[in-house]
Amino acid sequence: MLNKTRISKKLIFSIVILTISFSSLFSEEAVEAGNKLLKEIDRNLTPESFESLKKIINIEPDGKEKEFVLYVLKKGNDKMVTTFLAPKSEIGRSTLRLDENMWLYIPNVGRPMRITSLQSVIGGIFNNSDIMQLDYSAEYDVIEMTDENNEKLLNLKAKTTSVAYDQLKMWVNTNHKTPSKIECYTASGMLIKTLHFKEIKDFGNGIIRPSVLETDSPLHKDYKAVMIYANIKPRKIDDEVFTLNYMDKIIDLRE
Amino acid sequence: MKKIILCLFLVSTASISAQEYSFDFEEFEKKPYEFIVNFKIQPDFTLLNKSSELYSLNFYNKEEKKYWDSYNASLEFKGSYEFSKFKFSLDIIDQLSYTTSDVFENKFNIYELFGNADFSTNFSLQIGKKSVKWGKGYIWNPVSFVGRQKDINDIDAGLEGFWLMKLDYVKSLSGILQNFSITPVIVPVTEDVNEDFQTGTSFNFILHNYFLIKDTDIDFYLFMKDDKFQRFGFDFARNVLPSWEIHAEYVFEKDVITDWWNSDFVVESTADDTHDFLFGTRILFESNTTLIVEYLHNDAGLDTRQMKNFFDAIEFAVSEDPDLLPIVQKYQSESFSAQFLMKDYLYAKISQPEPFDILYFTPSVFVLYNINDTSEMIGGEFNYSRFENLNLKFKYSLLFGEENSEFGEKISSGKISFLMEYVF
Repeated sequence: MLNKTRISKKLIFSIVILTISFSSLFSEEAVEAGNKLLKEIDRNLTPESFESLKKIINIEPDGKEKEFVLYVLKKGNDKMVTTFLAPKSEIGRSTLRLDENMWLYIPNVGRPMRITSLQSVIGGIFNNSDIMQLDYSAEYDVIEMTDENNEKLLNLKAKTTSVAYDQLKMWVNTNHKTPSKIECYTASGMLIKTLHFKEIKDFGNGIIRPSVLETDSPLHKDYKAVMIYANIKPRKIDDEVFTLNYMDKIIDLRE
Repeated sequence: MKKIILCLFLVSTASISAQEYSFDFEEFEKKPYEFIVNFKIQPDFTLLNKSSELYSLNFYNKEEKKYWDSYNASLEFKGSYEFSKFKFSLDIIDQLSYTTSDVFENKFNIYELFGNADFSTNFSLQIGKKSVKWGKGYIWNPVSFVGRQKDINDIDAGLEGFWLMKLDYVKSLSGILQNFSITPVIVPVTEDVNEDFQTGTSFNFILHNYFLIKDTDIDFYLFMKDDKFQRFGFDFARNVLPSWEIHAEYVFEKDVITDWWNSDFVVESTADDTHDFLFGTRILFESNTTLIVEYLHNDAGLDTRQMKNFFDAIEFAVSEDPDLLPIVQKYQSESFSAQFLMKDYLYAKISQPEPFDILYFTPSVFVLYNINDTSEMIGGEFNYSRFENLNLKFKYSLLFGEENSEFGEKISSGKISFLMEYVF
């Protein structure tokens, strides 16, 4: 009797250990696959080195809109620069991101000054980190990947505390391997904003991705902001373009 | 029929939805020429401090006034033309002002007129009249060797440049040193060129080196006048935390001449080596509130005794010795018009973008505290940029201080201004 109990206890213990080992092995595999998928998503959204145009529309609860147009250059995981082409009052205002460093150049002020990812150079829901989004895989690690309604759901955790959002929930369109929705959370788990990726478009050069990004935020009820992408083109860019010296000349780099 | 109406409705809804997010990017294609015109109107209303020494000096034998109004308008044209690797830029401004005493003034300035040649992404050359701004401080930049000092009442205003030749070499690297630049600048001064850059004729060579080392901006500056060392400086800025930036500037200058009044009402000149510095911080709180705090030390500034002597000299000239008036007035216009007259100041500014979900609205308040005489200037600004290409700004400032203090003896005790700026 005693022996039987001992054997069954040993059996249960072994099963539990095996289950934990398999599940951890499985989740490790899932995480690895998730991180691989995240890198694919990054490359599907933009080439490693590219130029593009972005229109940003801030929409107020009464329907009033304000539009901004930016010219964007990005290289590798950590370099991005943008400059305003519209409205006229903002022309030449440029932002530079080098990894976690961000600077703003205002033509009248005439010298770059450091800014942070949580500020917004345009006002409204999009902050600097949304406007100057680097590769997701450069800033986040996948900690969990699950299936949900024909989509993959990736739970992402920021690699450092300097990233604007501590956690992301990313729903991935498995056909195009691009995000369909991203929820952005603080470290305490508070939802800050939701990004909705819409209108998949062929931009040429093998780039097929959502062309419209809509956002709303529980912190700004009834306000909305939209980002429309255009003219995404791979481009060879010298590293020196991503320096403070170049911030007043970004507008001249359009081809 | 119902189906047709439904179809028409769906078609119209689809077209609206498609229109809603349309983006005709071809209108943003690069053109060889670009220009913008900036039109500004700014009425200012100043409450005069009738008990101050500077009021008694400036209104000597004139009709007394309680208020001073001025109405200012300006038209600025900024344009450029690009040809191959060359770009020519122009920034001209015409300013018209009308004051309470029926004085019309029209001032035309060339802020910038220069050519730029980009030989490669590493090398570029600029020749002409150009505004160059250096430094990390918000309120003051002692390292701005080639630029004019900013107006503390309008910190972000564009400034007139100097005629110069500037070469830029920039290089990106991987490793601890992320990138660096070397910028030699030549500023000649003659009777007709850059006469307000330095006194007398001179040939000035300025070298600026920038380094981004381990996410820290570091700059070094050297100023040589006629092959002789005149100034050296450095600055740095770094984000200690993502939302917390620190910065500092330091300048050593040889033989800085300070003119000051002694107790016998005679102007004396002393030449001393000076050490100017500024350190400050910028913090962004979770509420999106930004706080800027800076301490600055202007080594060539006057001390409290020298300030008192000057104010006593005004009182003596106005009440007892009118012959002294031209000397006092000359001193005021030449040596008493700097932004920071004394040695030590503390500046703090708090701004809150979009309070109560009011988009494009940024109110801010600031205080500039003179540590040496405990006088202060307190002010604020309401900025609203809701309308396309139109910026509206309301500013106010109030001055407080005891007798013989800097802000207590200013000609005004308060000022409000309204600015309307339209860009087209």
